[in-house]
Order: sequence, then C-alpha cells, then structure tokens
Amino acid sequence: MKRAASFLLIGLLGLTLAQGVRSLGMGGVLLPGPSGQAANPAYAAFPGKWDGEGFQVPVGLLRFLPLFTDTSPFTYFTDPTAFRNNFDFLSAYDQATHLGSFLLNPARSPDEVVFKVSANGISITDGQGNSLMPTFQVGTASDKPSASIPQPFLPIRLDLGPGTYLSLGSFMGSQGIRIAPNPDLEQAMKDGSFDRCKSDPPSPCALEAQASFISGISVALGFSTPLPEIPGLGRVYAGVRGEGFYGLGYAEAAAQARPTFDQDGNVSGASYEVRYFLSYPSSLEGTLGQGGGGMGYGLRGDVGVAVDGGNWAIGLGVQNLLGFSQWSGVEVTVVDGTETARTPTTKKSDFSAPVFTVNGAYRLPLEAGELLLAADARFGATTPAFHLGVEYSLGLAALRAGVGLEGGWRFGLGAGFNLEALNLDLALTTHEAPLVGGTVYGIAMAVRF
Amino acid sequence: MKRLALLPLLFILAACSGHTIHRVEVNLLSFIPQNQRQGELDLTTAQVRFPDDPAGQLVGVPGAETLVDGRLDLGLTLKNTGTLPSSLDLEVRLGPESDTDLYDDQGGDFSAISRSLTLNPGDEQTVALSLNVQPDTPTYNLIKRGGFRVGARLSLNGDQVQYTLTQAYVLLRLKLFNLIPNP
Repeated sequence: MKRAASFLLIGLLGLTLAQGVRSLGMGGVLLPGPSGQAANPAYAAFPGKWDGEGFQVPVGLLRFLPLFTDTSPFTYFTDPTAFRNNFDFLSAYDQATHLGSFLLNPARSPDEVVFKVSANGISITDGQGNSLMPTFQVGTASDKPSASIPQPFLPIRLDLGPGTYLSLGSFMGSQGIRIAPNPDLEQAMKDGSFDRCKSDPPSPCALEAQASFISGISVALGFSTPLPEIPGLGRVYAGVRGEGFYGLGYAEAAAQARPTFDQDGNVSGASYEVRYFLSYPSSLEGTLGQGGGGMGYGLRGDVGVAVDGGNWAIGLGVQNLLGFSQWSGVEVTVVDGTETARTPTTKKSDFSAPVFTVNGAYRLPLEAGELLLAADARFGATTPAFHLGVEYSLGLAALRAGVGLEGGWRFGLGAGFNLEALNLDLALTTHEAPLVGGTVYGIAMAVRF
Repeated sequence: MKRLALLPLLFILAACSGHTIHRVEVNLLSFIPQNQRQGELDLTTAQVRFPDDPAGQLVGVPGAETLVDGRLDLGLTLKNTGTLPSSLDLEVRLGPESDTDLYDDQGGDFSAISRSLTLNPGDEQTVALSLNVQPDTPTYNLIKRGGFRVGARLSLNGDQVQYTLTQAYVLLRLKLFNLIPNP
C-alpha cells in the first residue's frame, strides 16, 4: 500500500503542478508565453515577458507527512489508531490533486452521514439535513482511450536548433473520474421516493461511475517560430508538436448500480455491473496475472498560433487535432460480484478529439504602476473551462486576483515580490471542494533566484 | 424490504473518513401495511404481531460489524373499549437472520424490550418502548453479526382493546473505518 500511495502521489504531481503560482493568483488564467506551450505549441518560441515566474514549490506534499493525519495515508503505518480516527479519503484526494498548494482546509467528509430508509426510498443527508448527492467529475471520463496524455513529470528537453526541440519524460495520471447518479436516480433521491425507479428490470435509475488511469513514456518533437511581423498587428508565432508515447499501463473502469425491487415494490437490493479494462506490458503478466499483458502506444499532433502585439497578446492552440492511441489488454465484466466475461480486447481512440484553448492578455500602463488583464477559455473534447485574471504591479511588488470556472468556481489572490536576489510569488488559491461543496483555500509558492 | 443491499455503494460514495459516523435510520413502520397497523384485540383475537409474519422484518445492514451504538423505538396507542379492566403485554423481539419464528424462543430469538400495563374501561394510553443498543449487550451483539430480524407482539388479557401502531424505528450508528485492519 505504501508503494502504491507513493506511486499515485508522483503521478498526481505531474498533473497538479501544471499551473504556475502567478497563474493561480490570477484565478488559474493561462498567460501567453512558454509556460502555456502544452496548450499551444506556438508559445514555445513566444517571449516570456507575459508569464515569467520562478519554480513552483510543491508545498502540498507537506500534507503527506504523517504529522497531518487527515491527509497522509502514511499515518496508517506510523500510527494506525490516528489513521482510523482522523484520515479522510476526501481530504487526501483533494490535497493530492492540488499539490501546488498547501490546502488550509481540504475538503472534509461530513462528520455524520444519515441514511433514512423507508418503504418509499432512501435519502442521504449530512448531519444537518443537507442532501448528499454523490456527483463528482474531473477531466473527461471516457469509455475509450485518448491520444491526449497527462503532461510528463520533469521532462528532459533538448534544443535541436532554432525553434525545434525534443522532449522526453514519463507521465502518469488520470484522464478523468466521474461519479454521478443518472437523471432518474437523481430525481428519485431528491423526491425521497423510488417510485420512478420501479419498472421491469433493469431499473431506469442508476448510479454511474467511470475512471481511467494511464502511465507511459512520452517523446515530443516540437517546432515553433516567429513569422514575419504583420504591420498593424504584431509578431505572429506558429507552432506544431507531435507527441508519441509508449504505454506502461492503462486501466479504465465503469460501474453501474441499479436498485432492484420485490413484488411489493419495496427496495430489495441493488444490481451491480462493473466493467474494467487493463493493459500493461507483457513482461508484467507473470507478476500481475490478470491477462492484461499487451501493448499501448499513441501519437498526437497539436498546432497553435499566437500574436504578440506589444502591449497585448493572444493565442489559439489546438491539442489532439489528429491523434491515435491503442491499448491491447483484457476487458472484464463483473455482474453482482460474479465475473461474467473476460475477453482479450484492443481499445482504440478516435482519430480526432481536439481540445481548443484561447487565451490573451492586455497590459495597461497607469499613472502609477501597470495593470495586466488576462483571460482564457478551453473547450472541445474536454470539460469546458474559463478564467479571468488581473495583476497590478508597482515597483518591486505585484498584486493579483482572478476568477475561474472549471467544474466549479475558483478564485485566486496573489502577490509577487522582486527582492533582487530572489523573486517570490505567493498565491492564495481557492477551489470548490469535491463532492461536499464549499470553498477550499490553499497557499502556493514559487521562487526564482 | 427484504434487504438493504443498496446501502454499501452509497456508504462508500457519501463519505469515507475516520471521523465519519454513518447513521442508518430505518422506518420500520413504513414497511407494515396500513391495514395491519391498527385493529382490535378481543377474546377471539388476543394477540397481534407487527409485522404479521412470525419471522418478523429482516433488516440487513452492510458494515454492521462496525456498529457503534443504536436505538430501537416502538410506539403504540391503546384504548380499552371493553367493560372489564385489561392487562396488556408488549414486547419487541429480535432474532438472527436465519430464524423463522421470532416468538418461539428457538433459533436464537429473544425479547429485547417488554412492558406490561393495565387499562381500565375507557382508558387510553400511549406506550413508547425504547431500547438503547450499547456494546456488550445481546442486541448489540446480534446486530453486529449483520442481518437481523425484528418484530413486536401485543398480547391481551381482558375483553377488548383497540390498538394503533404509531412508531417502529431502528437507528444504528456505524463507523466504517473500524473495518480497516492493522498493517
């Protein structure tokens, strides 16, 4: 378990440090510049005058020290009693998915969950009577693989010439997690009555869950170059990137639970169906023995264009404009605890699942200081997201604020200090607590010497 | 309601932490048909069971081995409509999932709470029976084994009494993190 927890943590690290502290302080907005080249390959050659900042310290890792018994799974090994009394899966998940921030109040499971069971149905509330509807989504939980992979963690980058680079790194992470009641079950739980669910099996009401996990080694070859300046517009940059990966592991699971009823219309139980797919290198078959030994690989093409207009900048990036990935492994179906099928399967992605990112910034000189306004939007084959941020800089200090919508609302506040030998960026971050709602606050930090 | 097997998945999704207590409140009254909740006891029908099935009502509680504590509540309104004083015995009985008759003192069933009272002609009384389920009691140990059966019986020694069942309720508090073994 300790090794699995470490493995998961490292994987999440790559996902959660994707945004800089300056960006976090501005509500998560993507600033034009090299830090945004994952979303727009044209930014690889873009000047860094918009998005410059230091190394983000993964301060969220502190919360995995056994000292923090609510978020550290390692407490299980150091103090099992404290683990049983204090550990909170939801808090740990929340912190693990925000490693760039030390969360001051990570999402906390309710102290009491009340299940009221009667002949008419089941309701779930917290101790205060608020309804607990298990709904949660991160990323795009799909039933097929995607050529879009998580960003590699600390990739090795080689410059091959003007505007050309090669990047190599390992990646690991989830492509999406989703838990939600279907519309019929959601309504039934709101009504506190299962009447709408009572029909010939299978019931129309279902609780659905999907998740996927991917790991591999990626190689990216990119090219980005400034184009001749267009009078009246500014300097245009264009970029392309091809990224291929060799898969080290892929797991995908989808589950449905439907209530069943007896002849009197009373809830008599639930019917479960779980389908999962596993793929891992054949060399691991002897160890894992699940029949999922196979091969996974993929290739993807991204394009982008950006314009630097002097006191403004704008960019459009398209990830996975063309792409393909394939995993061979085994698909297993389990119905009510009994394995009903185990079939060697090859899963393939779509040939195009584009994700569009539009972002821009505008610098407004003031009598005292300067204002930077920035916005971005992300849409396509992903969960839509939108951010708006502002930075006011005066002398050696800067103040930042922003707002974003990515699944839930998030807000950011930040500050930057230029202390000659040291640049320090701090951000008070917020995001919506998964499952239970409410605002979670965190502190992020970046330094540059 | 034969089983409450929908609960395990909901348990997991709703909350999973060391500080979370899962409280399960089962309204047993709702599972008793309306026409069986009230009636009259007399010389010919001197006993009534709730529910009518001698096997009682099966309550399946996933994760019951993590039981912290709980409570059983039963409420009745009784009225002596006869001409003679009547004595009544009310008891709540529990038994294991496998028991087929909660009232025969066989197969592990037992009386969890009981009460006797006397009503004079014309008297009306509300009776409430409540049992706190605490560790190291027969009720606690039974529930902790998983599924259990519950039933109640009202017996008359007199000529005529009207009854109305007003409450039948089981509350259990569970701490699922107690399922986690030591490393």
